Amino acid sequence: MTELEGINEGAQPADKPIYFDEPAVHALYQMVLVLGEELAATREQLHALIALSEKGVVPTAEAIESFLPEDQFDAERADWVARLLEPLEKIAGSDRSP
Amino acid sequence: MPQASREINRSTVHKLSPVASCRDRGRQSFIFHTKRHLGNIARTTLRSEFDRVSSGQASDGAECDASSAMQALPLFAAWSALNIGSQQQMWRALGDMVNRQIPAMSAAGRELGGAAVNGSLQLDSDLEMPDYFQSTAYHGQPGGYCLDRGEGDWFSGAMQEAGGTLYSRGAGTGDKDSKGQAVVRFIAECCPDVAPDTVVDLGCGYGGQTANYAVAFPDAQTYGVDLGAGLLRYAHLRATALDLPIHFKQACAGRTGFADASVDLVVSNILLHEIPPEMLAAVMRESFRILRPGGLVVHQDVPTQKPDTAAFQQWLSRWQVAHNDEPFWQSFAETSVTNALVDAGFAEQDVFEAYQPQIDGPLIWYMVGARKP
Repeated sequence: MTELEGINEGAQPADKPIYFDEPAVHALYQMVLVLGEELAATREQLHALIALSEKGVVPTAEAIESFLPEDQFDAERADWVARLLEPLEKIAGSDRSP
Repeated sequence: MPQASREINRSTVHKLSPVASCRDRGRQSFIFHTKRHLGNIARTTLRSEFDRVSSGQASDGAECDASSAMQALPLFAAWSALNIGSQQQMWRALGDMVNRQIPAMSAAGRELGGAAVNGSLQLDSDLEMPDYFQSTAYHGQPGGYCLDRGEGDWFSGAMQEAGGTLYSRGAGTGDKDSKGQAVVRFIAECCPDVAPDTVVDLGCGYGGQTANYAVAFPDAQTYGVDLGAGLLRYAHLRATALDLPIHFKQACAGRTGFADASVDLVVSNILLHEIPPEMLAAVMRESFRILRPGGLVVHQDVPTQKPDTAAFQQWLSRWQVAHNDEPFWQSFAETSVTNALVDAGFAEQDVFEAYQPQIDGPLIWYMVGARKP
């Protein structure tokens, strides 16, 4: 558990609606987001590791965490998120089954 | 006439800014691109779906109410789940980044506490907090703006700045945008004679926009007013880090404590849609009371009241109410701020409203205000 999840003082976010009849589908979406976030972090670190190695820098944890990628790496980030979310477009035009 | 000698915008970095590690950057970039992509889907595919169901062309061919028809669409369910999830993910990622750096940021804060900038921080531990403020976790921010864990706690301010920046970037707003600068530009265009001695920024939060007024009007005494102690502690340190002499005061925007007719310029940025209608009326009355004759008030907010707002945009606004801890978004959309200004004492002919495009983003801002005779 992170420290943030331990914050129980102050105002708490309101409960959010769930749009799926089957709660497991909602849970699945949350799991996809967590996986996507973890994969994004790993991709970022892997990119740093490769870039540092190519420059002959020892890729220590400190070197990796303080590495700043080149601007064009952002296009790669955007591209894979677009591919991840592409299936959404495919369900456009369909209505939920009765 | 306001001066534009220095830019304070979303790319501004200061000594209290948390540093994103490689892992933080990966997590935040995922959230940013997810939000941006979901925004694109809303503006294109979801909008087409809305038009389709609005025209009664759903697969069963029946006439239907667009909102309830949208609720039944698989795309809407998936889009909503991802949107809600990415917002929760955003706060967790930013909270982890800020929490990890609390010792370093606190040390930077202690160092700034002794800096020789002529700003100030005035907290009021006896101030009565309105119920709505204590019970709303605006935009889902953990603990809300009211979070105050005692002396030295600035967590809510740091989170408000980090969250506001990532959320806005995800919504398509660029680094050069600044709501405060939009107001300054608006004043330069509509009232170029304004040269205030005293500026009061109501609902100033972490002080991000207040900084713009201090830069634009360097000869004025600039004050930021907010209810949240955690926001103001951070705002004070942030202003000090930026070398700006701003006075932050804990008070209600509807009851600031400033003397009658003592202020030349009253401003607010996206405050009005975060407060209930009765407080909005109180803010207008307070604006009128504290302004000097000839003084100017400008409130900047979201353009929900624009008369030609498309039905889809209105529907999307209502989605915000239900999903993003925006309890007063809809009541604000249904409120006539110009009427509230007139009710507060401003003459009808001195009240104005206008729309100002972002300089670096797709949105337009609502500007509403008045000049006191």
